[in-house]
Amino acid sequence: MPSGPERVAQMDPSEFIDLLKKFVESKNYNLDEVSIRRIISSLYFSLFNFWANRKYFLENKRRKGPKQDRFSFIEFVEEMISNALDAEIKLLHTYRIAADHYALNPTIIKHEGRAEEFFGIREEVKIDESALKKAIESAEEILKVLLEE
Amino acid sequence: MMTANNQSTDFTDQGMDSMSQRPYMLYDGNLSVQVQTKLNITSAESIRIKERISRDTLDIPGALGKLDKKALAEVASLVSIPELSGLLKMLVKKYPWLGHPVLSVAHDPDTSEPVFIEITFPRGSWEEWRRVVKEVKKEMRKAGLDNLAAKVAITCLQGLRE
Repeated sequence: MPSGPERVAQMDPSEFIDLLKKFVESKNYNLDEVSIRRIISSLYFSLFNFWANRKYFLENKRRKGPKQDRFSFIEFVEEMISNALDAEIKLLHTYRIAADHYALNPTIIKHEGRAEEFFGIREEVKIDESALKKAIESAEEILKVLLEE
Repeated sequence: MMTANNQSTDFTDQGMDSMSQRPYMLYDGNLSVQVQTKLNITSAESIRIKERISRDTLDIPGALGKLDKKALAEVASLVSIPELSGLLKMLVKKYPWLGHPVLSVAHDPDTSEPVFIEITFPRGSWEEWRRVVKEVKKEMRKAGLDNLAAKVAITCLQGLRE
């Protein structure tokens, strides 16, 4: 495995996101829910992996795990918020949780942490083509900022 | 200076200046340091924080949601209460159609540490949500409120659901 900038470049999801976008935009496919769920999840993780590699190799950050390379989702979310990507990361993060952890569709997301903090805030989400379109838009915006850093 | 609908919404406007003249230190820097080392604050301290936020956000009923005393202390440990109050006021004044905001605190699931505060509005389309965040955060940076911008997320539930 290469290290440093070469490794970071290896994890750049530009091509992957572009490929997914073209696939989704082509009218040759009627995407079923399984496909939409997997695409949303993969968009999120392609960005997360890229961000974590940037942290590790370019910023020399160390976190958990034997190789100190396990970064937390919340740190990723926090950094996106500080870059004014509140809407994009919130949407991608929430739908990723729905896609990977919830059986029903539509469903209601309950975030980890003490439930009482989220009383009154029911995050109802529906995994469909509209969500997928927003997820792709969000991924593109987030990637743009990551590449500018 | 940020303007919209011919109304000044500068974070350092009359309201904020007058607020900062009040004895905020107990609830601002000093308390922030205090609660980081002593999250099991007393009920009296919790009530004081709640009262202070409530007083500053009287025109925003329900903004505190059902935050318990620990969550209130966490809010104070993450951001300056006067700045947060100023932001809430500005958001409600400039974007009244988004509805009444509710505060919550997001935690790191591994460490349970508070990470950022979320201001959630019931309304606001996907496009509007993105535009509002960009506008507000740009102005926050201009006003020198970098920490607040980094520690507060704005969410529009309608945009998330639609």
